[in-house]
Amino acid sequence: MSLETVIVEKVDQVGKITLNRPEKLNAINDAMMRDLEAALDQMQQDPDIWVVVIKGAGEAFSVGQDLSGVGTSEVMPPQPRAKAYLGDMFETAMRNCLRWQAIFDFPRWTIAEVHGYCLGAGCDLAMACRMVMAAEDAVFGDPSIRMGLASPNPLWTWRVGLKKTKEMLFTGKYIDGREAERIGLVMKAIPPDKLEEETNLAAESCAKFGTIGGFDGQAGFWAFDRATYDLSGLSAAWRLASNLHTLSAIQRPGRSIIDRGEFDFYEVRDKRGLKAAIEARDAPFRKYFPQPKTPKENK
Amino acid sequence: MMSTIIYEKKDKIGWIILNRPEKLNAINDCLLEELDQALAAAEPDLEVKVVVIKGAGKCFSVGEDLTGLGTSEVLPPERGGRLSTKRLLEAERRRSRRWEYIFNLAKPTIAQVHGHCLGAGLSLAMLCDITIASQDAVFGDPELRMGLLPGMPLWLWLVGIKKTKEMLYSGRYIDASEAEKIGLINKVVPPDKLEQEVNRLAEGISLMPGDGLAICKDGINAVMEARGLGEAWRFTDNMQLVMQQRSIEPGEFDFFETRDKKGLRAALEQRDVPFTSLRAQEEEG
Repeated sequence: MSLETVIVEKVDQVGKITLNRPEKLNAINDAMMRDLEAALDQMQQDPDIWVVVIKGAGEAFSVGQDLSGVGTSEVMPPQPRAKAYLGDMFETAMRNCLRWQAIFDFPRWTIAEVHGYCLGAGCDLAMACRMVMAAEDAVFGDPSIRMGLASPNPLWTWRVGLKKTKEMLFTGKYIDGREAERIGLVMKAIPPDKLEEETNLAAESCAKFGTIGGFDGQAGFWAFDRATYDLSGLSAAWRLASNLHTLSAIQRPGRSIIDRGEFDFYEVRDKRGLKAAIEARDAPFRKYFPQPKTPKENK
Repeated sequence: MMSTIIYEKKDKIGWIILNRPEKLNAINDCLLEELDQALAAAEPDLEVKVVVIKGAGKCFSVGEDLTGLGTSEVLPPERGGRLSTKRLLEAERRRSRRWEYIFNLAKPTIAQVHGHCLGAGLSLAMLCDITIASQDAVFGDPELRMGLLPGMPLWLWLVGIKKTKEMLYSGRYIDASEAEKIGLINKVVPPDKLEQEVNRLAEGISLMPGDGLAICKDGINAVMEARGLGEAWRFTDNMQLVMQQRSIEPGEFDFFETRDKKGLRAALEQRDVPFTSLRAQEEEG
């Protein structure tokens, strides 16, 4: 099978999936989501693969959902202007909820190797992996709220706790890899030039954790792990978060009774282009929540 | 006109100031009711995007008012009283509903903490979405030292089971840096930077779409419900009743009797003195 937006490799027992839209900073559109699923599916079939590493080509892991509005009907909720039927909206919500859970449930070690931007859905993807290894100067965050969207990802409260979840999601602020490690979003922050080496080392050691006397130890362990999450409410939380994300998408920022006349991401994008809209989205907040510099800006 | 709360609006931010500085903002019935009023005024107000709660004077709040005057809503009923179990349960339900209302307010809330932040004062700070504290802040819940049951289930989710038990069994106080380390608060800043830090945060959040904020908050809180917070509230109500109906063991320190005989200050002193070694250890460590 040929995949266009991801690169699939296999090194010994480690499968590698590289998000490959470097010119778009690996923004996740429908095609990439489907390719990612197909690649994971392919690796799940391969009995020799015990660990999957997910990383990004070029400057970043992923800047998140593709906000261009072209080929994104599955990864983005319908735009307020589209006046979609509620049934369609909830269908989108449930589909995404199941998709993300499938990635979270992948029955092998999954490791996100993060460098550069890791935002929005990119951050969700990293969080859905079992382990996150990040460069110290990687940049994490979910700026969805700045466009009026609530996050569809319930894993936040498990990963960083309630207080930090609210701080991150109410402000849409960006933090660097070190801070992400401190609050628990990342398991290990690593000097950028050592990232690949350390991730490979972790992957190789995880690969040793395989069958025990013919019993697929990993699959068994992950099933147990997931059951534990579910007992503490993850499945219900995922459905709630997905549906509330969709609900937030129909609120028409800029036109609701509360926010009349305020910033409307979609309107600015359609008039002045995506780059300008993203700039307009983030600029007012730099003063309040200083943004860490990306590796490229540091150079 | 409110006597124990100051409520002001300034540039899309609603400021709620606990205002009993001479009593270190001890929470009595009147303060609770006025806090409710201020929140009820802020919640539907389209001009208010975010609510900040802080204390006037030396501290955020030392917790529930223990004087026994005008405190029937914040303290358990007198022992040997003749209230029916139904009445007692109603009172507990009222207490937790009040906390749940603050937790679920449809706007982001920020607690700006300086000085003492104990017992019910700490509960209030925990219920706010984001808590920023100055280095001089002190956190703790000494309720068990008085034979009262700490009634805030959020502890477990914020700091984890081990730290919750450590804090509540010992009633020990911790400083702001430790509170940040264990996840009780978001951030600790130098005392002279506190105001500025909270302003910056509140102003930043006030620029967000209000609908989005409300749904984002509800989404996160819904996740907590799914994780069992709802049941935990109900369970706490019932455990409070069990605690209220126990009898004092022979030789056990009776806080309320000591208070009635020797006064509040003496009772507080007697409550905390046996635990000074705990304090000294912490300071050495």
